[in-house]
Amino acid sequence: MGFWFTTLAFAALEGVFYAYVQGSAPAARRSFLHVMYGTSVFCCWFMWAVIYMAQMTPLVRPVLQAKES
Amino acid sequence: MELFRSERMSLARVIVPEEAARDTIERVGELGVMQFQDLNSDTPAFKRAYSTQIRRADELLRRLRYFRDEARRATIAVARSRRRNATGRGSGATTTTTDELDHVTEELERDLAQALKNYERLMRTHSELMELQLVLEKAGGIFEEKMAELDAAGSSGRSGDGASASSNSAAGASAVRLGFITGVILTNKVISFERILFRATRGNMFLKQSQILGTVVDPTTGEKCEKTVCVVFFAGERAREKIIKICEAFNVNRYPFPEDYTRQRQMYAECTARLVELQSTLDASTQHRDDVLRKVGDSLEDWIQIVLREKAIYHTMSMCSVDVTRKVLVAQAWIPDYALSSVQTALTDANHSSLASVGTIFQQIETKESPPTHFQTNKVTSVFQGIVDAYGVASYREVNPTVFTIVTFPFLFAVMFGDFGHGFLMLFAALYLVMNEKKLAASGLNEIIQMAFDGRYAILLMSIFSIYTGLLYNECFSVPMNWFGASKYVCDPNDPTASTTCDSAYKTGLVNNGDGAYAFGVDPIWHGSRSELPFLNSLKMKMSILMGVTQMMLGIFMSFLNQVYTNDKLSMYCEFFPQVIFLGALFGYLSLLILIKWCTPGSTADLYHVMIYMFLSPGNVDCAGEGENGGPGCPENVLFPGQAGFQNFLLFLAFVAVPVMLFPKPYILKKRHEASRGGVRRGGVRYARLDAEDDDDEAFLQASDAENSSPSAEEEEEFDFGEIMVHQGIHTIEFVLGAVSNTASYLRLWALSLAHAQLSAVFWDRVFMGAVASGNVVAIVMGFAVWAFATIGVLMLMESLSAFLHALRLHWVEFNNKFFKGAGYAFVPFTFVGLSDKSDDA
Repeated sequence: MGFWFTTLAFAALEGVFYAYVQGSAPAARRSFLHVMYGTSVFCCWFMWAVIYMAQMTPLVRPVLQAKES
Repeated sequence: MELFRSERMSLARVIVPEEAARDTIERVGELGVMQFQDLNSDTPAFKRAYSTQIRRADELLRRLRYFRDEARRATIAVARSRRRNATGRGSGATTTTTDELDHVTEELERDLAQALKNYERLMRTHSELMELQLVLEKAGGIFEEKMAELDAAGSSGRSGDGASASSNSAAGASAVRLGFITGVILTNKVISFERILFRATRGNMFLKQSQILGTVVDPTTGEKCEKTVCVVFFAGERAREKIIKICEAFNVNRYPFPEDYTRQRQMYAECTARLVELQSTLDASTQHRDDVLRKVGDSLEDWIQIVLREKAIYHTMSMCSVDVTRKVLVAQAWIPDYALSSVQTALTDANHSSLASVGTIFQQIETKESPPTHFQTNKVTSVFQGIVDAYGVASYREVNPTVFTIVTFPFLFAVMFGDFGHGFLMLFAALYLVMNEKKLAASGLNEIIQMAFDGRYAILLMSIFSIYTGLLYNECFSVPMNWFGASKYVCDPNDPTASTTCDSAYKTGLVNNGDGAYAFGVDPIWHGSRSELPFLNSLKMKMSILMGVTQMMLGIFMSFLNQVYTNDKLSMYCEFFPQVIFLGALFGYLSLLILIKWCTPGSTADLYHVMIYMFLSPGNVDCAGEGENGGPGCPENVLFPGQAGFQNFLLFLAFVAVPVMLFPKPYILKKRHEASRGGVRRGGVRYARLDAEDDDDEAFLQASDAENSSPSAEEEEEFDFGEIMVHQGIHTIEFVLGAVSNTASYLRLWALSLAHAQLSAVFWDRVFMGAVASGNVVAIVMGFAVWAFATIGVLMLMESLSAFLHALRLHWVEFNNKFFKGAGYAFVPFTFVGLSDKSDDA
């Protein structure tokens, strides 16, 4: 489950959306819907990638709260 | 691409023979795709060609409104208009014309007015009689009471009030003759009435009152109110006059009251008989009135629609110029190109059906006026188009920010609102609105719910993205979820207590198990740990910068699309490229550093330091000479070889970009202007068409060109170098400063998402979990209630609103100011859809 694997998964998702739009939408609307789905997938991938990369080589270590007991 | 640029528009001139004008305009109104230009804008409304028809329509509307008001007063339901769709009705199918309507309504109005007058008169008599009856009853009672008192006290009696009064009626032998007035007064006025009377007569009077049970209809106003019967006793004729005046002032309805007991009886009986009689007359009259109103009520809404249509048609016709000699109407209108053929068909159809002797002429005309902006939106995209239009209506054929806003707006909202649970709550609300949209649209909603309803598709997208970002933040009502595996952090293997208590976890912290980062989203271990905030702050801050730089770059590239479309090479070289270079060299480089730092194991580079010293001491990345023994002071800041040179190069680019943005464009514009002017002057002969503005030669030719003079007069303007320079200066400063401040502005993504996470954590941990820890059932229920209330009220309503507003700002300011001019005007076609009587809600 590395970075490139999940990135590929997002790319595959975009591929599915692309095929879906090509298959179902009328020709006049296709380019618009491609932009919609493409932007959505990009945004989702972008945020995932940022959060993933930030955790790859973390400087801060999780310090647990001391238990009360 | 749909929505990407506004629809192409053509200005068309339509010349319609007068006899076909009305039908033609009606047809076109049913299509709803033409925006008529007012060709008589300098003629006052009452002087226009069709002002009589408009006035007649107004008069009809007034009548119909009168019917509706009366029907409402008589509580007769007005049938809802049988909805005709604007296109489904040919002009031949018009069942009722305005002429017929005029006739019918006039008669009806007379009829109704008569009926109402009768009804009112009868009603008045009726309520007067009712009051008289009550007076007879009550005052009789008062008098009897007094008689009884008198009998009990003995006939000799003191010169007391009641006694003298009764002696007045009984014996009539008193020295001073006492008079009395009986009447009915509003109960709430009795006290002040008594006080005034007392003062006016200097206490020389006596008021006896008896409240009427229930309500009585007031004869003058026709309203139901609480009233009191009162009898005023007084002495002397002058006092009588005074009291009568006061009675009038207090709206006291005075009634005769015979002193004689038998007369009273007689009157009472008479009164009752008349009342019965009157009641039947009244019933008949009410019946008649209701019949009239019901007859009207059935078709009232339809009639109103017909008249409104008619009014709209004539209003549009009065915007056309009328050629009296040729008996034609000349209309000028903007038509979207996709509708041109349907308009032409409608025109010929209307011409045929109205049997006009001459055909309708339709011609597209060239103009230099900028056309209106028109986007074909559907119910999903119209919300976002509305968001953009609230900032400014796009210029004609300008790149429309709505396309990206549809995705980025809900996404940026979700970055601030990210929570799995809250996202689902919002999703349910949005789904409810979307599923029941037909039902909800038909029923009237209150203002706030209406706002949410209008934005239902935006809310739907916002909630879906919130669920996704909630997954990434790994929060469901602030509780972490481990759907993507257990935490990647384990106890430090160097810790001697690793296998038992793992003391180091509370001091130095856990370490990564060497298996890489958590697969999807934030590792659940961070939640509630002591280092949660330092970690999340650093992450979210950097994420905000990255998102901001990406979105702003997108904005600059949108301006590139505009320049390509208008073939504006000058702006491309003098604005687009330096802007990309400037933003890229500063904040693009910062983004790059962030990514490099994340990918470099163990890097502790201080990016602030790198960015600041990139300016303060160029070429010195590692603080050379500041460390011990003259070594580098901050070697960790070097992230890649050749960094110093690269930074100097970027710095150079950024510094060069600013003057490129500022100076060349105004200068080249000036040169171009001079060239075009000079060419004309020097050549002496012009092969181009003459400009009507051309002042010095061939004035006589202007006459033939007169029709073109008004549009071209507007666009030719003096070239003012100073103004252009100032404008360019402002533009440049705005961009340079904006690059810094807008990037900083994106940090609101971090701040808002932090606030949201912290608030929901406080509500969950302190309120709900605190109550659960107490173990008391009542406390748990209470705790849950408080938590649920806070979640709905504070997080779902207030927090979502604030995230909405911040997302709005990021789009309006940070994104739109990179490319969006928004200097257009909206396309408002002439249509019958949504015609409504303005006094409807009165």
